[in-house]
Amino acid sequence: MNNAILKCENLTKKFGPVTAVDGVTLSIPRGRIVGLLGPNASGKTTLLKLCNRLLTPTAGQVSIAGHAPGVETKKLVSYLPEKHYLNEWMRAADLIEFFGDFYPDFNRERAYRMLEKLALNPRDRLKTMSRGTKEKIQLSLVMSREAPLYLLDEPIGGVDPAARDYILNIILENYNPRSTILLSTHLIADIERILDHIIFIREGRVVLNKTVDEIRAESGQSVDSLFREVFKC
Amino acid sequence: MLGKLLKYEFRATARLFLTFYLALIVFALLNAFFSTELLVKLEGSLVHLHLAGAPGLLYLILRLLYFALVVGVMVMTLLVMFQRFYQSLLGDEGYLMFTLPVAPWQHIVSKLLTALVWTVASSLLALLSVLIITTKVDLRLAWPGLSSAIGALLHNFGLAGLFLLPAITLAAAIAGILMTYAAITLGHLSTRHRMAATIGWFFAFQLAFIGLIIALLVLLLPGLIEKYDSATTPALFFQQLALQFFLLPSLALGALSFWLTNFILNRRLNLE
Repeated sequence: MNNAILKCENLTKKFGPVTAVDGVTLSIPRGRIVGLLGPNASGKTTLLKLCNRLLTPTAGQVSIAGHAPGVETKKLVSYLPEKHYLNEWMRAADLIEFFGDFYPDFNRERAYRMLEKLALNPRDRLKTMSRGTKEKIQLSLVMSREAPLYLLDEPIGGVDPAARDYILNIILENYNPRSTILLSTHLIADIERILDHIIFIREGRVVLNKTVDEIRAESGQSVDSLFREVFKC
Repeated sequence: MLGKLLKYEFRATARLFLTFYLALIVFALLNAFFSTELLVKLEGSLVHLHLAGAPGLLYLILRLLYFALVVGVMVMTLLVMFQRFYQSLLGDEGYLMFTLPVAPWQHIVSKLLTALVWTVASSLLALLSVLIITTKVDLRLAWPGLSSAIGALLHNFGLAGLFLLPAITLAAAIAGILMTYAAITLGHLSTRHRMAATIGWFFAFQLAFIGLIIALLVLLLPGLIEKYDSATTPALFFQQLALQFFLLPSLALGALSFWLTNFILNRRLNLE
């Protein structure tokens, strides 16, 4: 598929005796919102970190818009890690400055608009903020880039249901139809409504890779109930 | 991009360093003034009473605090340079730094240059504070001592030697920092006992450095002594020594460490 923004070929990552990602082969086209769904410890975070080259694969390859991960691909990928990775001593305004300095596709106005919606003072330092607030700032920064590929690791994992809606709205409002979003989560019911495409991952392997329409047509189920069926304990 | 990295690296560290430097100068000034006062009283007749009383105690406390600050600045300079490298590249902050469109070598260079600037600044500030105290704030008094020290260096090591000395110090500092970066990065490759592995690599690099110097001495010193004749001045001899036995090993191990660190960050990065 020439249109693919992200391709993984036989991608494998082992940590000692544990295989976290096991021979994953994927091709994700442009202009989709893709859910990377799986239970805890199924390899979602490892897969996204491999795509960002924060982890070196044991075997296999990743390519982003046809390039191996490197300086060029980092310009194309806007990544939200599951960790809190921002400098505590910085103010929200410093972070906007930082992102704007390094990423040519960063839209400062959009970032300030999002902070305004969150009723946050850009002069506040991060260390005075709650965990949930920091997560929202992190997501606002990541979504303020106009990137062809967003890799979002558990964007709604650590926040309350009201904030979940806020975050999903941020994602939808800032989504450009030519971009692709690959987001991982185990909270499927909350996120199902925004997804076009689903990838189920279990024990590091892709067990299902279909569009939402295909799933509904073939199984007559919602993604959430299919998930419960596939991952039944 | 390197310029931007440097800007943020200085911003991240400046507040801490500048606060320490300010405290250092304030305490040097306090020490200078209080010791002046003590000297004036030394000329009077009640010297022992003053020393045993409150002013004497205050003087002692100020002196101790000053020494603690000098040690503190040096320790902090070392700690911060390695902690910044570890935390910002291999800790959680690495998730941000390694997703910036920046090549790993630029990260290493930005950390190295910042560390060097703070090392030089801390050393100069410590020297300045000593001068403030010994000259009782009249820094012009320091000039005769400094100029005679420079004169002695010039006489013994020659003009080239005078430039070689800072060059060797700088090369040794660069090599030391890069070797420690390499030790931290190699230590990070271990899945368990990272701290122990880092310390092990650190000593391995130090041993390699000393081993290289000894090997060069054994191999090259006899030849150098053989060539030492009436035409060789001590200054020239020193320059040869410095160049071959200290500058070159520093550059060689510094370059190797840089290459290793860059290779691992490029090809073997694993942020867990």
